Amino acid sequence: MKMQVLVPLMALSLLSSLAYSNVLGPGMLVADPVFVFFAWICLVDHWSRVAVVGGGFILYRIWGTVATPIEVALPFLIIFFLIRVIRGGVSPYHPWRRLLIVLPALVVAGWFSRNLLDLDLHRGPSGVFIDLLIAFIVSAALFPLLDLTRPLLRSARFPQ
Amino acid sequence: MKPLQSAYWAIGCWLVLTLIAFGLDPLVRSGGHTQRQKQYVDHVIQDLGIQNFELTAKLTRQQLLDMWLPLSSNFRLLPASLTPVTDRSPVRRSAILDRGEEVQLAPGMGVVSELGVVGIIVDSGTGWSRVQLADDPGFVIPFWDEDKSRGLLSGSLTKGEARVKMRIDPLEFSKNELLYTNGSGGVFPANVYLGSVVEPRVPIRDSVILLPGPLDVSREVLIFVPVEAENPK
Repeated sequence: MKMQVLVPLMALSLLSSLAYSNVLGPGMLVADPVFVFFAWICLVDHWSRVAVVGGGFILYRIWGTVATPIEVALPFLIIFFLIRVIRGGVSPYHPWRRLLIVLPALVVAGWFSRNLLDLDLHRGPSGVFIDLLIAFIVSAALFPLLDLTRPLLRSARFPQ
Repeated sequence: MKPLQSAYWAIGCWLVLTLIAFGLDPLVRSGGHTQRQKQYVDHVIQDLGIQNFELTAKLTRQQLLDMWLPLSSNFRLLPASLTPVTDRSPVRRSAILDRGEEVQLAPGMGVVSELGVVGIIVDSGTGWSRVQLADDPGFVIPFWDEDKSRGLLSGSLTKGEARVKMRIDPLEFSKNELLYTNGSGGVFPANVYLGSVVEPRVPIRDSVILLPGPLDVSREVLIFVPVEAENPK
């Protein structure tokens, strides 16, 4: 299993997160490139790789922040749990249909993050629509790039 | 193209996109609040009576001490240098101070600059303290306005801005209303400048409040160390 390839991919997603945080603003709660990469890994990859990526991100983010550990870890756990549940009903291999798995997971994780930060930060239906749109744009931009990297992750079960 | 080559190309493209975003970052940062920043600067000049050169020039530590000394009857003032850092949690905002436990700094102490409230210390060690900036969404502070009407102010998801969590009376703001700390909680003394209302809205929690910013710049700051914390007896 090519675990070492995950390191540059994780570093790149963290770098993207840093670079796009000002552009995305509050949209980072649902469309953080780190979450999108983690969601892509969760879709069809092995447990061990999901654990390495999720654990790595959580450990990195738990230090050097004013956020609480729960605030850092919860979105990753929600994304993982929801993706594993929803993919039972939708094919995670189809290039577009898999977004039906990823988008609800990202939006729900963002909703929980927002409420953990402050209950007053909730938004109405228009906010959910905007969250979905931002998550769709970032996922649709990143997933094709990530799909191209699959030969490096030799054992991953990504669509051929 | 072979699959492996495509994979490396994809990583290269991703890296280039990220670098482009880093390059465009200054444009994004400067575009957002130009009008509000102008209003804020006008405001400070008119209402607080601070001279123009004082706004742009960095005050020395002694000047800072002189400025805040009249308000700090129950506090000891401690100077430090604040360095902004990128918080690892993308929507949170923090900074680092160059002093910490060696001078009895502890979580819960208030930090001010020459413009007003900067944030609160949330963690400290030897030679460093981490400050939660006032525009962090988790930052909460009681305030009063010029008529001593009280409320609760919180940071927001937008950099440099705050929002009202609660206000007892009246239930709306007037434009350019100034907000100050009310001294409750023992973190800041009363009447430290917090921010101004640049967009009053109904409901009141949607109003836009501009903090004395920008908060994420390197500067000299003062920490309000409660006298009780220094002498527990």
